[in-house]
Amino acid sequence: MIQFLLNNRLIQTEQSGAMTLLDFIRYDQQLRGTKIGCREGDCGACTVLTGELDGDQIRYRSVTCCLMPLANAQGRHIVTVEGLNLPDQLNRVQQAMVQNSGTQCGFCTPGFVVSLSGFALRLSTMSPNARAELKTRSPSVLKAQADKKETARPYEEAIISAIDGNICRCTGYKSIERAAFELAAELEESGAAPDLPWLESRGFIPEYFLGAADRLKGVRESIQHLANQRGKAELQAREDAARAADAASSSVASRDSTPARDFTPVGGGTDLYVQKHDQILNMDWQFLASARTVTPLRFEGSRCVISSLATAADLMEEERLLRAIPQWYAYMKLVSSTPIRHMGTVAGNLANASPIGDLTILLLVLQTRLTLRHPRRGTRIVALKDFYMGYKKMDKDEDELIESIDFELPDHQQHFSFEKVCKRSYLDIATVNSAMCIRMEQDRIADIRLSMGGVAPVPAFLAETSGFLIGQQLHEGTILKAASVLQEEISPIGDVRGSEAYKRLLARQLFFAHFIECFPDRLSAETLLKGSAS
Amino acid sequence: MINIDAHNHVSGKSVYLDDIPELRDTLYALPFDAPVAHARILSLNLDAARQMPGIVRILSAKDIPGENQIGGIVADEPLLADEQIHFHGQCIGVIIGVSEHHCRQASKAIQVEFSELPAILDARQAQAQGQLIVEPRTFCIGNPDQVWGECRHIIEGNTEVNGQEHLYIETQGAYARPKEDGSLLISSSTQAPTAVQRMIARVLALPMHKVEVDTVRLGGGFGGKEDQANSWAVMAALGAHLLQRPVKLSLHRLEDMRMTGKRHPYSADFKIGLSEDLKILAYEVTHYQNAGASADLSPAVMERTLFHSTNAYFIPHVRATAYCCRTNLPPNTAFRGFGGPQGKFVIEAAIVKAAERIGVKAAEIQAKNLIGDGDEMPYGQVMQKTQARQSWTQCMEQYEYSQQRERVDRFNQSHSTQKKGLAVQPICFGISFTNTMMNHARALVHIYLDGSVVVSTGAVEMGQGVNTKLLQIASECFGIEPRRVRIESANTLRVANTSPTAASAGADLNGKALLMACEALVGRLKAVASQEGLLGDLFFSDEHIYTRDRASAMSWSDLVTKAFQKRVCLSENAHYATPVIHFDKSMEKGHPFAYHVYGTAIVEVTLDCIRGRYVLDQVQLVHDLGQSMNSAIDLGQIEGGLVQGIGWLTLEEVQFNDKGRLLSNALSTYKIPDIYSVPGQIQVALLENEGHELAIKKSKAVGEPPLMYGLGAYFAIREAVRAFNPDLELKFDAPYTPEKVLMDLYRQE
Repeated sequence: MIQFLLNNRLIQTEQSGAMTLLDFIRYDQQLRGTKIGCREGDCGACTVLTGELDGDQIRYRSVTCCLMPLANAQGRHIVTVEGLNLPDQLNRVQQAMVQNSGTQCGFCTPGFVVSLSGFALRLSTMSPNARAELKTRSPSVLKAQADKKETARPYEEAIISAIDGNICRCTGYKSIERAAFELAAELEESGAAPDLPWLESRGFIPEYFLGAADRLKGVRESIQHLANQRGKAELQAREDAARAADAASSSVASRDSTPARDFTPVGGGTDLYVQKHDQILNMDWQFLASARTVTPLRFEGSRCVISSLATAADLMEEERLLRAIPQWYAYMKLVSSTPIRHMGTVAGNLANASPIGDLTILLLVLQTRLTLRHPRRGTRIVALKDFYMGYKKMDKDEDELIESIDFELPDHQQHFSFEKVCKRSYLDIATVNSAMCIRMEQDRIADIRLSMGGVAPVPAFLAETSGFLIGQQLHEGTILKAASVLQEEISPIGDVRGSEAYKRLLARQLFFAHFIECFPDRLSAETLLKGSAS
Repeated sequence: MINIDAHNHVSGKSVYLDDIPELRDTLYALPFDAPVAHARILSLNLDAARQMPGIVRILSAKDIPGENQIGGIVADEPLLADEQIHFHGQCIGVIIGVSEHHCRQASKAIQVEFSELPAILDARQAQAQGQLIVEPRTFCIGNPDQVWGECRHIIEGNTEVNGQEHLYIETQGAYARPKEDGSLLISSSTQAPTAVQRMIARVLALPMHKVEVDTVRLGGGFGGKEDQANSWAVMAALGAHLLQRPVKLSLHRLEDMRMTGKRHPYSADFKIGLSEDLKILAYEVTHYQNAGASADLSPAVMERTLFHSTNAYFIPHVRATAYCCRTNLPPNTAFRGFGGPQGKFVIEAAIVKAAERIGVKAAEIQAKNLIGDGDEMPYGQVMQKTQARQSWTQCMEQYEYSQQRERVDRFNQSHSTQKKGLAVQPICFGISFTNTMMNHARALVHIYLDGSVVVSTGAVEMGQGVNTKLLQIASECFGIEPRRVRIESANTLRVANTSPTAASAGADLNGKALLMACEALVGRLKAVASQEGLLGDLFFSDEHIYTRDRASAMSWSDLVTKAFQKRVCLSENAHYATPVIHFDKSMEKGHPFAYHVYGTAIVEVTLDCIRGRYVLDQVQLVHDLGQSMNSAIDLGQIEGGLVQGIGWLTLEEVQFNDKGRLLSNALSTYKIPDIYSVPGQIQVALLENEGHELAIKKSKAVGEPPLMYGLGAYFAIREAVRAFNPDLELKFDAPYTPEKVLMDLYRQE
């Protein structure tokens, strides 16, 4: 049984956990404010909030529920547009959308309303540090600091980010942007933090939100209680089976040859539900997310260790990463969209083995290792750069699961750079993406690691190009020579994201871009670009 | 006034097709389609699929009781392919089952054998092989052949402009329910309820009076649900008719993208001649329209391409020819602008190429050739109340174009890895269906005993705000609170024989009819008031009827009650047909447009010459709304249309493989603008003018014209590319995707 809060109601359902939350909401619960636009997480019309209990409060995140297994709603507070409606009037987000004509045909609108409300709710549970961090990214804050004026809108960048997964075909977004800025200004008024009572008093959320955390605790207790009962029953059943097996003197060998699992493990589901939408209800799954803890990242010295259920968002918001890599936030913003980052796991991105996986390309240059667990053989460690063996082929047994991932944080002597070009800058899949981590000793490249996606059957660690550069003097001539090595090392093919010629050109350009961005004072961009053209 | 749907939209209460509560015995329909672009069907085996659980029936062409034909302009489009397949995605049958999931499982068990035939995907190849859907047409004025000799500059070239996926966020769908006596009620996500009704009647062999089509609203249309909503409604109706159970069909996004047509790709050749002082003396253009596998609306779209081949310019000698070419792609269809944007792209390309050759800025040529009062268009309409020069001048002055020009040029001199481009884009767009016959509408108004009013028209609300404008018309005419007026769904039982909500004309046609109906009721109510002692000149305001001096008054409610008691009719059905317009196709001359809409935009882009990415910095425009009756709604149309036009010419790339299979078949591979790809700033100023009496309340039509400002984005990017790679002879090949940009930046001759 799956139990959760859906808006103001307790849900206890026996529906298949593999059903999408979207279908459950619309066709089981008949809440039709949540719309279907694409069923692959690319439009945001089905955006809902999922709230996770963290101590005494609920952390809300926007997700596209077309890609979310119903099982992953277990123990959470799911909020649809209906759950944001106030009894007698529009809520603040809704008012702002109406007043600014942010809705035309209206089909995408509930998704925008939910995402914007999610932003307000997220502020309510953010640490002061995290909120301060948000403000530093606002272009108007940066500009106001430069101009020494106080007209900034600190949350403007963050509130627009909150709707970066929502597509609108009618408005051209400007009216929605105006609504969002109006809301950002109001949220800034809250002073320290717009906590839940403040949000409720200002009409951002209905009153029942104030009691939701307590109710959710009750739900979790009930789930735990059931799990304990089931656990006892299962233990008993297993002991009975073992006795029966001993009695039949079945051999250890034959037991060992049976597959350890006959199910597919599902983390976030963001890729599976795109690829296998038709088959999902007919397959056996194990949903891993219920094992997720609220802090899936930890540090061991300079290594960051993340659990297999850490999401892209967990990585994006980690303060130590933000400090270690100044552009971290901007890089991570290029990865998918806000609601997908809230669901998609880092491990899923790696295990998907997509040749253009953004997180894979990022992690390839950070000396990343995977800890794989086999149900009987225990764990082993594989370096990410050795993990990919061919198109969608990995050094991973069918029965092995990624247990954890760890990688090295760049220190202050290293430059880290990530580049990604796609048709649309955001919410798009890379045509070519690339990462570089480099350490200089005076003018000499002491160490460098390069990776590139979209140019080979696997997410490529560019061993040859990196090897060529190690020990070389950093100047334009070296880079141009290395660019030729790069062209030898890659083998892109033409597809819907670009022709082979384009990908080769892009590979060269992004390779240059790493150096132009990291060493603007040492290298002449003009020389590189012209040098390669001649 | 804010859009009257907005409250329900933001609270998730608005009902779209898939939100209609299903009746208990509802079945679900799933079309299955051809995986090849051109083939003969050798065999169709449905046996295994029929045995699958939950499957109630699988329909194919032989189950059709009437005509297997849904072609509107030309009868060349079967609902379900029978012997031949003409495009990848063409429907062969319809699976009907107890759930969409069951239908989907069964679709995998359908076995079809094909014998593949060579597929034509290119318009010029189709034309060369004589594959034309209708005869080519030519619009002429003067005689270009006689003036080439007088031209100081003659420039020739060719252009390619690709199609565009509508990507309404609500996919196509319909829900059909049987009623008594073999009649049907169909809810359809369509811009054209009458077309749906007509096609259902034809395919099911029913009289039209047995088919009720009802449309509350669409989650976006943009032309994609003008003709192409028909198939799905007919399929659902066919299932409901044969099984006598409700049948719902709602396409998955992938099916919608694969099975439906898009904006037409065009290929064109041009030749333009200019005098020493940059006057365009002659222009010759040949358009090759890629119509896809059947006519759909292509002949009409092609016609509008011809009408707009000279955009906002007066050219004394023009010959414009267009071919409607049959290819093995999904039938291309209406899309905001309806062929006009493609026609304009070519003349703008010709001007830009001429400017590059001559060594001036395109804006110099554009400014010298703008149309004015008394100028004659190639189609014979003598232009009056033109606003082309006014909008241009206001735009140049208000936004200080010459300073911007200098700023951009300076930027380019001082930056090596970034370049800017600036383009000016004037527009002139004719308002009316070019098929004169379609320019009519009706409105049905009831005033109920309690003084509340209900309005029905043929207008379909799809976000453009037509219902809000209709409500304004009724409440203003009656002088009553907006809350007293309700705008009802477009329903074929209440308003019959309607034209589609299209051609930007929805508010004009239906609004004029509504105004006539309201005025007739006002006349009758005034007579009642006079009988009650209110004498002289009367008027309605603040829920009352007043004498001119406001000395005496009667409340709206009382007046309605009195009228009812006096047995006065409180309902009115009015008919409006646009006056003045006519067009003679045998001569290709006439006065096809009620009026024209004008405007000018300045588009600025910044190009990242390392990565080939571009950012639209700003668009500043002056637009002609006449006397806008709802500036909030009209501003939304301007911004939204502009961004859709920019999308068409920049990111949105419809890609087929060489077998005619759609590659850009999902939102993951077909990219429409997101919030970060729209211009950093969009500044909109309105052109002060008196409007036009044929526009509803002198508020000009606004749906399509702003899309064409998007053309400026293409030419601004081109200018930025040239600033980086000045020696390259650039092609005209839209959209200008980041791929094409990067290749052009580093291409050597």
